[in-house]
Formats: sequence, structure tokens, C-alpha cells
Amino acid sequence: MLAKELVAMNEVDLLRLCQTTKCAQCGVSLHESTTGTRKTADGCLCSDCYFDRFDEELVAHPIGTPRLHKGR
Amino acid sequence: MHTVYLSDQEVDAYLLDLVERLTALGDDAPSVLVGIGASGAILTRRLVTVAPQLGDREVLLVDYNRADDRITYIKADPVAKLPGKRVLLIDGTVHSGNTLLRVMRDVEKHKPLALSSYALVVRRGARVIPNHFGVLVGDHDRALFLRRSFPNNRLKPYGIWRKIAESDMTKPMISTGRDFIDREHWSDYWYEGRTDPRRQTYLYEVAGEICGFISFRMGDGSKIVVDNIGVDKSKQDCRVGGHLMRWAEHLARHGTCARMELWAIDDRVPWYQKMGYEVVPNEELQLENDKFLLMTKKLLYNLPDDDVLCMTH
Repeated sequence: MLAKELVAMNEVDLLRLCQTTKCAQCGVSLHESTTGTRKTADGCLCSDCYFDRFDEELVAHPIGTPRLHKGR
Repeated sequence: MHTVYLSDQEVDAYLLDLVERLTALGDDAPSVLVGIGASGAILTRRLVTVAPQLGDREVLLVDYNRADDRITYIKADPVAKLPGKRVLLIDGTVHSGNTLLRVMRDVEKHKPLALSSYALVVRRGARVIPNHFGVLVGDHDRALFLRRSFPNNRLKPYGIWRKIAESDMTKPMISTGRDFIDREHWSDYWYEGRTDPRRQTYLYEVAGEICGFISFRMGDGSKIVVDNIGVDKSKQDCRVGGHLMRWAEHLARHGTCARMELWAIDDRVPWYQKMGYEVVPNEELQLENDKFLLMTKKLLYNLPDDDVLCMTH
């Protein structure tokens, strides 16, 4: 296309045209600086979905490093 | 992590400078503009808006899908448009440089006469430097521009997020259903924080009751080590744990840490590996029937390991 046709294009339509990398969970278009782009074995996730997955894991399997603690 | 904000006027100023430099090239100026990804497309559009004399240049939009390493020319045929032409690639931000380099190699296959590149923002550790660029930022930093809204950092929208305090020593420990956390006491964490300033404990509180916590160490300045994280049974469907982890990672990036580490029990190692963590060799703890392995994840995922060692400051 010519550059002036690009200028005439609606921004929403332009973004819809360009953004093909989407979060594998929620489908939001991924952008490094705003949504985050986190590679996992299940595909790229936005930061929101990435930490939601972490939450599920931490509820079932909290992290607890062996340590000394005072008695009660 | 610093956020660099570029106003629309500042973006236009950088683009006008670019236009002047391209005009000075005369007949050697690029005749084909290639916008990379959404930010490249938006920036190319902005470029032509501030310099309407570029309106008759040919524009191609290209997308690079990292998941399958695929280049897609959007509504354009590179075979028809690129051979023998002077081409300018335009991207908003160059992070690692992998996308820019990948697109460069693909465009080169179509035998342009000359190839140049422009990015408004470049991260310091990028492996490819554009021929023209506006702003250089650190590897932990980000830049925001040409947006209607800026993203706020997000924790759970209600409740109180705070550091542990001396007054917490009299409060009951949360009940996670896991003895290795439930038998501890807030005074343990308070004491550790008082004796070792690298250790931080943050709590999440609702209606005066502590519902979750995270405790970590800012290692040697280059990493953060998550020691403990737990959520009370009453709040285990409220995404508290994920937000606690998010806060720790956010602090790590702001503290210019290169890595996050945590000890995972051996049967959970595959899960952490799926989420981008790697096992640290020769770091194991065997306690009774449980084996713990130290796991690490790069925060500066755009850099290879040897660059990470150089870039943190």
C-alpha cells in the first residue's frame, strides 16, 4: 500500500491487522512494555495470566525453604 | 527499572529529525518503508503523518511470530515490492534485536538495493543496532509512547499490601494447610529482617487479618531469592499468591536484579520449568523425605547469560 493509505487507515483496524501474537490463555494482543510477553511451555502469556497460573501453583504447593524457627 | 515517557510531541520531533536525515540522502533515500509489528506500523503511520511528502512511498507491514518463528507480510507481496529498492525497516522498540534481525534476514532474501533500519527506542543490550534510533535505554527499562493510556502496576485491587512490622509479632500465623509454613511465626520473619537488611517480608491484609505473605532475599544485588510464600486457606481462591510473586518480581526488576531464584520441591520442578525456570546444577537440599532444588529464572530474558553478567548495574 502507499504510505498515505496507511495514514488514512483507522488505528483500530490497523492494530487488528498487525497484532498476531496473542496470549495463549486470554487472547490479548501481547506487547512487551504493556502486557508483558512471557514464554512458557504452553505458549506466550501476558503477565496477568502468567501470575494467575503462579497463584494456582502456590495455593496447591506453597514455597517454603527449610529454615530455623523459634518454638512456640 | 525506569520508565521513559515520550510525549507525542517528542516522538514527532524524533521523526522529523529522521525525515531530515533521509531527505539529505537525496536519490539514496529509502523508497519502501517496512513497519515491523504493531509498534512499527503505528510509528510508520506517525512518520508519514508528520511528513506528508512521504505519502507516495510504498509501505509494507510485517509481523514476526516468535512462537513459530514465522514472518508474515500483511496484505503485501515482498517479491513484488522489495527487489532492487532502498528499504527502511521501522520498529518502535528494539529489545533483544532478535525480531529486527529476523526481519532483516528475511527482507535480504528479496534482494533489496539497500537496507536500513530505524527504532525510536533501543535497549542497551540489543544485539542489533538500528542505523538510526531515538533513545537508548537500560535493559531493565521500558519506554511508553503513542498510547492513549499508560499501564499502572497492578496488585490485587482491595486490601492492604505492606511490609511486616514489629506489631505483627503478636498476630496469629496464617493457616495454609501446610505444616512447614503454618508452624512458623511472624516473629521469625521480623527477626530475620532486623538482622539482615537484604531480607524483606511483605504481607497482604484484609480487615485487619493477615491473609498472605512473601519473604525473599535480595541476594548479592544481582538476584532475588524467594524463600517463603503462603496464602491463608480463606483466601486461596483470590489470586493473592500470584500478586505476591508479581510484586517480588517487580521489585527485582527495579533493583536491577538479573535473576529470580527459589527452592522447589523435586516433584514441582517440571512445573517451574514450564514457567521458564531452570534447575541450578549442584544445588540440592535433602531433608528427611523431601528433596529441594534451587531454580533460577532470568529477568533480563532478552539477553544471553554472558551479556547479563555485564549489563547489570
